[in-house]
Amino acid sequence: MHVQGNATYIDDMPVPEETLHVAFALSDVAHGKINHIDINQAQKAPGVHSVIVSQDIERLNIGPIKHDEPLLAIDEVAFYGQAIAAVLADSHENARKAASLIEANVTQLEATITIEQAMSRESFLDKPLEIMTGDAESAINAAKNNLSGTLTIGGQEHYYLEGQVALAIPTEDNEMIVHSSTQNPTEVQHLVAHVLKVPHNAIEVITRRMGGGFGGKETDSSQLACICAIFARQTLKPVKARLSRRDDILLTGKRHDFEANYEVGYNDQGQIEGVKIDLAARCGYSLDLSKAILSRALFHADNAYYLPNATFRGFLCKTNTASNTAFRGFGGPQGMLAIENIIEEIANNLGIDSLIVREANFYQKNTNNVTPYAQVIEDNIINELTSELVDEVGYHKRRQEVQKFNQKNKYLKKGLALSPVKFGISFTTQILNQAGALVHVYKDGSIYLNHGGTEMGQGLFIKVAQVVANEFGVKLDQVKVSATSTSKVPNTSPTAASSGSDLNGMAAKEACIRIKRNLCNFAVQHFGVDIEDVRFEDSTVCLGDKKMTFKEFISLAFLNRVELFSNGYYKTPKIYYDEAKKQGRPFYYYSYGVCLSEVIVDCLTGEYKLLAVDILHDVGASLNPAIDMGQIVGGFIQGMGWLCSEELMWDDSGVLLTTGASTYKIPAIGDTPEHFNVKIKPNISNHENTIHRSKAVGEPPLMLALSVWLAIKNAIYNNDNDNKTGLDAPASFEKVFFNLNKKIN
Amino acid sequence: MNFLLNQNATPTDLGEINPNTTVLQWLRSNDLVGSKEGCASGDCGACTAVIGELVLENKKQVIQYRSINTCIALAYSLVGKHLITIEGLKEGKDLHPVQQAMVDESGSQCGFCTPGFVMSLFALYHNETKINLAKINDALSGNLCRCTGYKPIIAAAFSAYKEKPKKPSDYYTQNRSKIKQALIRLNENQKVSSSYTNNGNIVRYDAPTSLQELAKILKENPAAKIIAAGTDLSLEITQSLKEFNHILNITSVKELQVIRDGHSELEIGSAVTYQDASSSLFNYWPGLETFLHRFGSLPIRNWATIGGNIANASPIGDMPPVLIALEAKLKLRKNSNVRLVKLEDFFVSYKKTILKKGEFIESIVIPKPTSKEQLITHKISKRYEDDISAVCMAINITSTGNQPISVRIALGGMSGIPQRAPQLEKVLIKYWNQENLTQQAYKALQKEFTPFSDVRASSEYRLKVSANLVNKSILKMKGEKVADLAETTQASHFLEA
Repeated sequence: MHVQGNATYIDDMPVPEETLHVAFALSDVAHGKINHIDINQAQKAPGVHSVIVSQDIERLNIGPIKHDEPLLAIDEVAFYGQAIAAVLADSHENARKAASLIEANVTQLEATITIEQAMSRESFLDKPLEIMTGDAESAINAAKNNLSGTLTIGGQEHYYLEGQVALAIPTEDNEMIVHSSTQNPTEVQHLVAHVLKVPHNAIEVITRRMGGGFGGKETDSSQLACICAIFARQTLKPVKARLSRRDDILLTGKRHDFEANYEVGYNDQGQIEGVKIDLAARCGYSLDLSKAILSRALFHADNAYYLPNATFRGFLCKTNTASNTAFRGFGGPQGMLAIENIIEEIANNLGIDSLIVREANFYQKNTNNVTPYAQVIEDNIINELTSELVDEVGYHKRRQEVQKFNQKNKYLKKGLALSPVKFGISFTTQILNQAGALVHVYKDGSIYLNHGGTEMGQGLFIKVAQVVANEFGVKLDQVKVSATSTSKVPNTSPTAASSGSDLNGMAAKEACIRIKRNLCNFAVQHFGVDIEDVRFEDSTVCLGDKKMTFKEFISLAFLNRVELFSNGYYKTPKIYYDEAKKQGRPFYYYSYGVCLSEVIVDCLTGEYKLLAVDILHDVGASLNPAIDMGQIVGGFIQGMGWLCSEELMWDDSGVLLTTGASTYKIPAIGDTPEHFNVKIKPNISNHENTIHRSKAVGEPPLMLALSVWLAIKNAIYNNDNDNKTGLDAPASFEKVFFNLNKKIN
Repeated sequence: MNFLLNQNATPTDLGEINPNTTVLQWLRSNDLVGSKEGCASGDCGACTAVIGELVLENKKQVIQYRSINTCIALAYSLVGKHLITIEGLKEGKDLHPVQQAMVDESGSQCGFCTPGFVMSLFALYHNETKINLAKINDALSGNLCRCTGYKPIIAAAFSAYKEKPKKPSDYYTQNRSKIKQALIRLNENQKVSSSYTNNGNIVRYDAPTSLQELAKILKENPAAKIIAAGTDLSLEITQSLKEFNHILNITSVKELQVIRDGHSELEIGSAVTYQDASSSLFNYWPGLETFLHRFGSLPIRNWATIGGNIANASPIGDMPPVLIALEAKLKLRKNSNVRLVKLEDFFVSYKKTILKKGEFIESIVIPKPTSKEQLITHKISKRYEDDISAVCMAINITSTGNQPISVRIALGGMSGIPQRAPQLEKVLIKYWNQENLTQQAYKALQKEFTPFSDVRASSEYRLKVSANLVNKSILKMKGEKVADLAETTQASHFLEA
């Protein structure tokens, strides 16, 4: 369908002629007191139906954890690009034109824009977070070698190709159907119900597919859906809103930018004896999911390394910027970059290959296997993965060739880095680790599947359908997956944290098992076979010696009044976390991967090119190797974009300057390296009882790209071995240039 | 106001529409929703479609198919042409080979960018008999994908060619002559002019076909907005929500479409697209090939004109610095008055030129190079493909042996206008063989430019990297090992080394 252009996204849906369209007027200052909003011009503009401001909305505040986000700014604007008014008009264009006529009289207030400003003004959204083990301070002081520094890590705009979009259709009796491009239909349902003051059961939210999500549609879809719903209630007409790219980038949150302050003590072998990392995250004006994101950053500041003495602290900086939100990796990438940067700097200071330092610190199987948050790592394979990749690519020869090249070239320098990924799987918010599914088998043997997960391109629908087809032993095309709908499976969790297949796959399997139980009982009664002799395979049902097609069997079962549909439910076992002790087992299991990247840097300009990438990644027993491969490759390139060309920029007053594809550069086709070998670790299965012993794959591969940034850092060091530290992320050509030329500056 | 759409035998009437309507808006409001809006600024390619038009090739009339960004092309510019959208690829139940290849190689995840990629691949498939990575990268340089990491899409491009018969056998190839006849009929006596009433305002559109006609319209309507493709100008409609009251499209003017390869000059009509001008330009300045690849994505080069790029007077347009370094002149016309001006004198200040009301660029006249001349170009941007320059530098050196005798240097991105750098030129001649060339170049640049700091680069980086680029050019002339990493073929070379 995709290749024919007839996969329908919300903006493609035919809508009734009387459908009205929404556009927002946005604040043009980062922080200020609203004196007056002039909507006169907009109200008179062609095609305009009505204009609303915050005072027109009774239940104004929404938010995923805390309701601290007004749909439209009330007395104060809290960031540049915040919605201050909403226009309803007869067309998308007319709504936007009218919105541009709205003017706000605002008295500017001092704005807190940067992490530095927030830290010095102690502008926080909540108390600091902490994870610790051992005594970092003493260990650092006792260590033979020390180093400290600051690493600035940039944020990232999601740049899903399909922008935020919603369509609200009022039906009867105060009910409403809302189509939303969201990873979280349940939350949209609950918030729409909240703002309309109706019970949840009056609202149905439907998500057929998204044109990309990446975390950007986990919470940020609600505002649009709520505004549409409010207008739809007022007018009793269908109301649609889609954000222009600029408005989308301005209004919605991004990946959190971080500042990492670190101090580390290590021995001559590069072993870390003590480490302290302070991670300060720019959260924006509201809480959103920042606390969970920062937690995950702290949970991943060890990456794959055993750190006996570690203190990680996290600061939730409140700033006058859009509220930063979930983005593939959910804080993990920033935490991991902090420790990987430290490893690279230790290697540079000791003058040894960073691989040696990594291997010296890796978690082991039976010893050195406890994380700073006291989870015992039971499934560690990082040592094996690393040595396999090292052998396969001839790492040491590659290192020598890089050195040889660098000796021969004055203006061009190569860099090489191999970095590991260990990523914890489960929502760190325990309650979210549950899922439901609904399976119907119709009289003709065709199967209908619905579950709480949403499809955003990650292949979830196919994977879960595979699980169902496999349970009944039928072909995949016998299973139809329907759009995610809150009226089919209630109270679902967002499709996030890489958990989609793990949770929904298991729930769907459970539903199948329940139906099969009915079918087996029937078979035992009807055919007098033993229950063990009933098998579902190759579109047939084996009943001892007898065989029937699945279709015939189902038809027979129906005629004998067998219940052919069921729900299924799953909750992840084993996980817990003690908030007071800051210890527990937040993750059911870990996903692993290793990546080697080789770059070449032009020392005259700071430009570089990624020459070669070799990846070995663990997905357990893959449910679908083609889909998993797609996630690994795509995740890697997205991570590379974050660390290389994607640079968000604000001016001093908090105006976001990078508001479109012409200024914000996500990777283009030429950025994909020519040498790009990706291998899924074969013959391995998840040691935990996940769906078909597979592992989650959505987020972990993104962090394989850390090796690209580390390779650039290595090339800078290779150019001048006295240049041991520095380089922020993203490594724009300009930053690389100034790092290469620190001496003359 | 008719054009051919997909496999329809009868022409499609655009109907009474606001001339400010883009092709994408028209398509999506006419139930052709396969083409998507991802950015509405020609940056992401989700809206890509293929446009076919009659052109002369070796004096024979043929249809040329090219990929374009429909989000920044005006709907009325379709008149007399053939538009192929994603909805037009399938034949009956069969997928087009490029569609099949995308399915086979898992080239689609969320699917939103997919129609655009398929259309760019279709254009590639239609136009190239053989492919390699550089051609694929070029063909897809205007398509952004956020999911796949491009690897499977590149694989799909190769895979489509594995099965490709010598002569492509899709609908459009099989029916080439039929479509050509239809296009010829379509272009006979088609009046391309319209007047539309919008909230009491009259919005006019004209697309004259002769210089005489153009001059007449301009004389009567000196305030008309000349559009010569509008790859930048359309953003005022889609991004700034402006509406032009009178659009004067000059791309159909026959006299402006001509390339004249004279004795000592190359004269390029102002409505010639970059893609059409490229073979003549590469013939004399082969180094421009990689530069032009980075100039913009292929759909942009297919649509944008050199005249438009110059008249638009953007300080970050990439062609003006090159043309200034090559000592190009502009032929400006107002009615029957023609004047010849140096390009370096054409730009006054940010987005301001010496063009008078009613005056327009007729052609660009470039002196042909002597054997002693060498053109070296550099572009620094945040991303190699489809990005706007932080710094664009063109150096045209005349030398005997290895010794530079004279040089012309022009820079973009350093000032409010594309600008020549005479002091820098002097430095290069004086210090080219000395250790302190970079330092001297930096000093000269500091004197001549006060570049701004913006999202693309800081002022300091612009100055420093420009000084280094002067040095890099000299190193390159001397045969030292320096490289243009943006060039795909060079990168693969370093992979081997």
